[in-house]
Amino acid sequence: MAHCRIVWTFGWRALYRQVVRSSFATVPFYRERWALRGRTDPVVVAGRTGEHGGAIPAAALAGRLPDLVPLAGGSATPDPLRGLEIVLPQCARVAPDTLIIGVAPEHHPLSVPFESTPDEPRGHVLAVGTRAQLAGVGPAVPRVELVPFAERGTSGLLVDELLGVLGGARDCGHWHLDWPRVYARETPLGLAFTLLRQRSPRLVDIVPAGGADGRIIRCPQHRTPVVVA
Amino acid sequence: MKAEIFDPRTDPEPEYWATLRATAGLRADWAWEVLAAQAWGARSAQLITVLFDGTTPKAVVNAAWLGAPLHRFSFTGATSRPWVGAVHVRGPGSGAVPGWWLADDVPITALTETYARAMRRELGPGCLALVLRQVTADQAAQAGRLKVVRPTERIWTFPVHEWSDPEAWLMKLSRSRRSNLRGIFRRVRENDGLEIRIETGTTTLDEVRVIEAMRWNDDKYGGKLIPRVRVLSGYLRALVAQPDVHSTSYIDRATGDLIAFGTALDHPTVPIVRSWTQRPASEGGAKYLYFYHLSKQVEWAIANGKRFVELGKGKSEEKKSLGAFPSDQAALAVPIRPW
Ligand SMILES: [Zn+2]
Repeated sequence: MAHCRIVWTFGWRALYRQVVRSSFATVPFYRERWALRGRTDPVVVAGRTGEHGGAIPAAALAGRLPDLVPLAGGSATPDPLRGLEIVLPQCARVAPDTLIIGVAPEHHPLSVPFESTPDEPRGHVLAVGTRAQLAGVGPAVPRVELVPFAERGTSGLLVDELLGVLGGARDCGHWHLDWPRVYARETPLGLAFTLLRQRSPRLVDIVPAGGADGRIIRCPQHRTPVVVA
Repeated sequence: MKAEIFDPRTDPEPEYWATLRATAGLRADWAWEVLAAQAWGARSAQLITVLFDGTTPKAVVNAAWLGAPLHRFSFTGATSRPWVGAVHVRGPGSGAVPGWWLADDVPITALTETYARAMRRELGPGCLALVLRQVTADQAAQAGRLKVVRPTERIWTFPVHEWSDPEAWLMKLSRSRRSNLRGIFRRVRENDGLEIRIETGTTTLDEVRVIEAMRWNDDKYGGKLIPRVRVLSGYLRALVAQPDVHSTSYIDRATGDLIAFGTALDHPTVPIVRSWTQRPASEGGAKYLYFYHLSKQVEWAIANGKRFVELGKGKSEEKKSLGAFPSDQAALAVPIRPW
């Protein structure tokens, strides 16, 4: 437990600070924004603290994706399902022989799109999708709903077009982050998320579309960061 | 002479800057906030130096401190300085104009001697050489014995003062170019789908869209080894907001798409046509717009009593056919004495 505490307090944050430093040094969008306006926590140019502590509403990235590519090059296309492979099994029972209906992780062996869902699926079945997509799936089928942060209830996975799967509700009842790959920071604009492992397009301190109110605490059971209201 | 050295990223604008800019005829790319935005987006440290005689500024120099370690894929750090290298004097944001101004009574040796020594003091013993871009043969001849002079690409200029009106200018051109231009003017006049928006000192330009347009050119010219660093939108925003910068947007009225974009930096006698970017022909761009744009710059310069219009490097055939003349340019390198 002591080990977890150290990683949680220092390692996660150290990784974040490293990503901030590297983004300021190599990614045009952040270079410009933080140099000319500023940011906090950490401050990168003395005396410049910016607005909302440097948090960036997702809407501000419209048309700017090429500027999120580091100078050395990389992809400018965000993956709206980033993290699904890791978060989904944490929040639902997924075995290799589980038939996933709808949105499946890339390497999952058994999956079918919603349109071709069998009438009477056999074996272990799990439906994954947005509320609208799941509406057409029989009530007996276990399901995991993909929900935007602002519309979250008590279960499902938190998704965002830019940031991908940010986390999900686990058996403890808490909204767990995709830790340690996703960093969350409390800012005046709401929770701002950073993808610590995604080099390009670089996403740092992004507030998801629709906003993200909440605080970050540690789950008493799993000892990793969770979002609470 | 006394030297004051600034890093425009973090040093505030000196109180004498506006006056000095006016005296020296430094265009909008020397406005302090434009220098700051430019320096933040550079891969090497950018230094502004002012040389004083007593309290009177006598020279201004913009230079990049280039050296090892070389940043290929990162912007320069706020405090990182190369430990060995050369001071590269060039126009801020453009290599096509000289990066210095000297008062009339100051010889160019003030750069190769006084300025070089000041840089050596500031940057340390690793500061081994001074390179000046856009030097004329005369200027190169005045520098000391130890030097390397290499010709660089010529720059082009419209001798606007030779033309009393646009018609007089057209009559100087070849018959085929003249009739071609008349055709272009008619084509643009009759094209209701094309909106031409000229703005001066604008704060409402959609610079993100322009940056996107500039990328068409970057992809064409960017090297494999060292990527071309894109202009930061903050730089463009700061530049076009200057009261002496004219931006021209060519817009497809039907779709709202930007087809081409150009800026001109004004000056009492010698404005400069700075950036030009246009969509490739496959995406609705049209080569004739470049000729149209330059023609309009000529007309504007004649109407406003300018003497010359600087056009920078490249597109030599096009510029020549429009009546521009070339000037030979050289790069001059001198060693900096370590004592
Ligand atoms: Zn938990």
